[in-house]
Amino acid sequence: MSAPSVASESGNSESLSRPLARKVVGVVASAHGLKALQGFFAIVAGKSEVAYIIIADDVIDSDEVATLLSSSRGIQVCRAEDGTMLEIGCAYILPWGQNALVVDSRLHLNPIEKPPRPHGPIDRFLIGLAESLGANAAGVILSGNGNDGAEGLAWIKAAGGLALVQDPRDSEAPEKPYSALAAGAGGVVLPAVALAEHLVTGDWVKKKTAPLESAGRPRSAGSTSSLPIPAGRLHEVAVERFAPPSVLVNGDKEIVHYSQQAGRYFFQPGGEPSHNLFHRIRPELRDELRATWDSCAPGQSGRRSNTVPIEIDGRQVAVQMIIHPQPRGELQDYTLIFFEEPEEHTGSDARFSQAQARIRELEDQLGQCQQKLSAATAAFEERVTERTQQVRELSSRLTLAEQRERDRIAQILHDDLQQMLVSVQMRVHLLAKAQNLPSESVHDLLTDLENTVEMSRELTMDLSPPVLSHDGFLETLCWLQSIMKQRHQLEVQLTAPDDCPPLRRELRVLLFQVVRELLFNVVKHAQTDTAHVILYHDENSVEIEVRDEGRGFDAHQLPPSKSKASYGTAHIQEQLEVLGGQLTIFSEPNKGCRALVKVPITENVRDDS
Amino acid sequence: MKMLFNTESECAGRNALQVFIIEDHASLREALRLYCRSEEDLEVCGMAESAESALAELETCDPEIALVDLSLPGMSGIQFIQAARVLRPQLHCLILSGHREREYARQAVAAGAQGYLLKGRPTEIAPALRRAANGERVFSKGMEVAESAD
Repeated sequence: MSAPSVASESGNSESLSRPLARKVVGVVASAHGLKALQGFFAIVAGKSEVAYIIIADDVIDSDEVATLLSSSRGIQVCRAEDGTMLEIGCAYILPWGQNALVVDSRLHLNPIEKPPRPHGPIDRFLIGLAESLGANAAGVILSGNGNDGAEGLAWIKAAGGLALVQDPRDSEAPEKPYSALAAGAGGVVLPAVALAEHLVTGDWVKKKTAPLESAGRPRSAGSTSSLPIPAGRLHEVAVERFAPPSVLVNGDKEIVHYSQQAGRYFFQPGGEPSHNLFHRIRPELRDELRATWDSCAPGQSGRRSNTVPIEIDGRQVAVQMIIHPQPRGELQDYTLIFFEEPEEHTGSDARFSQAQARIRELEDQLGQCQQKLSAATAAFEERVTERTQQVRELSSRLTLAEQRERDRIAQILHDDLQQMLVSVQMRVHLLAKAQNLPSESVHDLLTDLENTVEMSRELTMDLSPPVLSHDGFLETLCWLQSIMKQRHQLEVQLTAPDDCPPLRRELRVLLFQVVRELLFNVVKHAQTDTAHVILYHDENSVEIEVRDEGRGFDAHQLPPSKSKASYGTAHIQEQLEVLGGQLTIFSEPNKGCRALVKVPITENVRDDS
Repeated sequence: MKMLFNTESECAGRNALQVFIIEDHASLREALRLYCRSEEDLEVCGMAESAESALAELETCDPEIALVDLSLPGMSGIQFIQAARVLRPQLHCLILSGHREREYARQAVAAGAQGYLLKGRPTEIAPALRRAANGERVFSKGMEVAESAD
């Protein structure tokens, strides 16, 4: 016996010569089941041909259990360790937190992986027994709390093993027995002592050791001795949780382990129990599996069968088998066979295709919406362009209408009012002369009349400069230059190219008004007697710069609208903007002022008349 | 065509300067006539409200000088001067205008005018008529232009 004793054997010192156990009973010990445990072992001690593995739940100390059982004669109580060879008549106390498997009477322990699997540690222990021992395993659920162990016991029962449950009515803590019964694990339900008697006298103990049903050790002798853990266990750890359903087959084509979900592809044939892959595979799959197996070249991995339709749970599925011989490593000589149901993928493909079709449909709809949007945008832009054109035309007409009105008023001033004033003036002159009136009194009157005539004349000129009606724009600027000199003593330095493009009358009028207004600003604000008017043009636009070196102002301190308004150019600015032009004023205190007017030359403003 | 001449009222001295007035504004035209009548050496031999009627009237009278408004309905004062130079090469013409642009004065002189007077300065008119009739250039202050090239 390789494991040290934790409690002396009661009346038996033949430990080294005890035979190895082929059947193992897993016993679940609980804080509330110590009495039942003690009663159970009092009966079985020295009477059975099996080994016991005791798994205590987490609320009691395994040493306490060992101490408790030490009083049972005919049973040797040991601490279970990895590699312990299980001997008949021994009870091994399992450390907490270990998974246990039994292969060829050898106990294999390994820590429970984290995160913990859905099953509790007791379930895992009992499932391990079922997987590794099949019908040679038995499980005993005694009094205790919680449900851990119930499912494990169901596995033992399902694997053909013996499931023993203490009668809940006999149980100090009936929860665990009830859970076992609820899980369908209730094979034999009796009070604890009766359970023990059933175990030692019942058929299970007497029955010949059963071959492994659904799991077991590798039959290949060479492989077996070299494996630190069973191939089935390795298969489980490596494949079961991450890969499609699969089975592991040894060199004799015997199944050594099924993964979860793989059972659906196998059946139990009549006659002698067999683990042969080709006996156990469902008949519908057999020929295809054999053909694929045979066509698998040495060393070739991933050989894929054709798809075979079979019915599972009343549902038609297509199955494909993939053969992976394991050429090296610990699973050398073993073969993994995966089972896939490509129909599921087909189903996925169908859903994918549907989704793609839906995407195409939505893309079409999106495309249509975009087309509509583009059309609407184009229509809107066209309308905006049309409206802009209308506004420009309206503005041009307004400019012309305004100028016509100015012309009309100027004409009235010139043709009527001015002539009348001159006439009155002459008649006063004649009257004074005829009456010999004192020259001083008449002189003032005549001077006032002369000034009035002059004012009306200037007003006429301002309203309707004759030069605007029949001359080019350069001539207009020249006229403005002379007027500014004549009336306001402002010397205007005019710089302009000879080839000033012809402009429509409305633009000529507007530009004239802009430049005149800017020159008035120089007269009023700049405190200088010199200004510069510079005309540029290219094929796209006309620019006029009006500049002075006067006192300037801080253009940034005034809001744009106010600065424009204060410069009397707000209205002109609006009209310029309608024609696509702009007026920009740059100025700083004591650094003069520079006003820049820019208007695009388009068909609207070019004089093609 | 409307004749604007009153022979009865125009009875200046025998050597009075014969003046023809072309002015479309009736009140001013009448004021000018009265103005000339107040001057002993001036005699209005005819008046017209347009250049066209003035040209027709020149057939029947023989003025020495014409006082011509620049802006007239139809033919302008300058166009009248150009036509009159052909019809009556001896006739002196003097523009009386409300326009202060010197360009007009330049054009008037180029067309054959003796000078350019601004309206609203009545004291200038009589001396100017006399001097112009003598072949001198006469201009209101500020309207002077150089001798015509031709």
